[in-house]
Amino acid sequence: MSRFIFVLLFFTLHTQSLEDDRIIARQGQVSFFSYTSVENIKAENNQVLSIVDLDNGTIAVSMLMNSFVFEKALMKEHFNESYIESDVYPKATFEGKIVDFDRSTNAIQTKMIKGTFTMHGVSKELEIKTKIERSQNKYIFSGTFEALVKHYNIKIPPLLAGNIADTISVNFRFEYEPYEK
Amino acid sequence: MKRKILISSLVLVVLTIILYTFINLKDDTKEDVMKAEPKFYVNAAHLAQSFNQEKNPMDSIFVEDIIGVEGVVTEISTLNNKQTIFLADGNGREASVLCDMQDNQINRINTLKLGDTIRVKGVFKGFLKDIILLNCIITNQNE
Repeated sequence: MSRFIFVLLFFTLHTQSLEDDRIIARQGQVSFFSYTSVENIKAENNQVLSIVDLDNGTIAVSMLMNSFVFEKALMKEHFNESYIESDVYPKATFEGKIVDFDRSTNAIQTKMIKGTFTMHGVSKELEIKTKIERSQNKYIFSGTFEALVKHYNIKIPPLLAGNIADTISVNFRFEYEPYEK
Repeated sequence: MKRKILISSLVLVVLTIILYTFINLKDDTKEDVMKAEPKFYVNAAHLAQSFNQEKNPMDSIFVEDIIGVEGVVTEISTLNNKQTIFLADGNGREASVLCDMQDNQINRINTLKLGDTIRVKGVFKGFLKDIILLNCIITNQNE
């Protein structure tokens, strides 16, 4: 009998962490790429915050635009001061819901996440194809989507228009752990 | 005359390329943090606590400034191939300072243990759930 209780307790404690409703990623990674014949621009942000409510499949993402790291100083300066205006619009956010999310499975799921992405003061409805992996007490969300520069009211001077692609490719990877208060 | 115009144009193009290369230098924020004296030093717990309020004026005033923070190491992370240290008051993770460390800090980070009190300086970027400092270096370490 005591052996049965021990086994039950072990499995209860082992699975408890993922039975919590919310999971959090404090070091989510978002990177973007702009490919043109003139130059390629890449930037990476490794401090993106995201919280998922496993109970209802809602997801929230928030990132500081000035935390993107560029290879060159001038790229960073143009991005923050001229294009994104990170002093006026310091954050980009995404609020959405995972469509048909199945929290009971350990298998890899590919799901659509529908929601509103807000950047540079402009909100757009997006549907993002996302790979969802579950490993022990962690979830990993990853994927790629494309954003059109003109949709976000970003003005690029004609002189630099050739340096920046019309469509920016965005990659993301969030490693979630149980939310601790 | 045509030859003069051609030479002048060539010189102008070369000068433009040199100028562009000179301006478009590699980001030297890391070197700046190494050399600079922090604007101020503050305790990690106090800093994090103040940001948990609705709106903190520091959020906009000190953005991009180099600041110093002292706190207890609550987590050392290597996620995304980055060395990240979380500093707090040691009583839970609700309020933390997230320090994205420079690559050259690896030897000092390897000697750290959870519970150590350290001082870091880095570029203040703002606040999400944690206060975010980038390009951090350890300036003092008490075990």
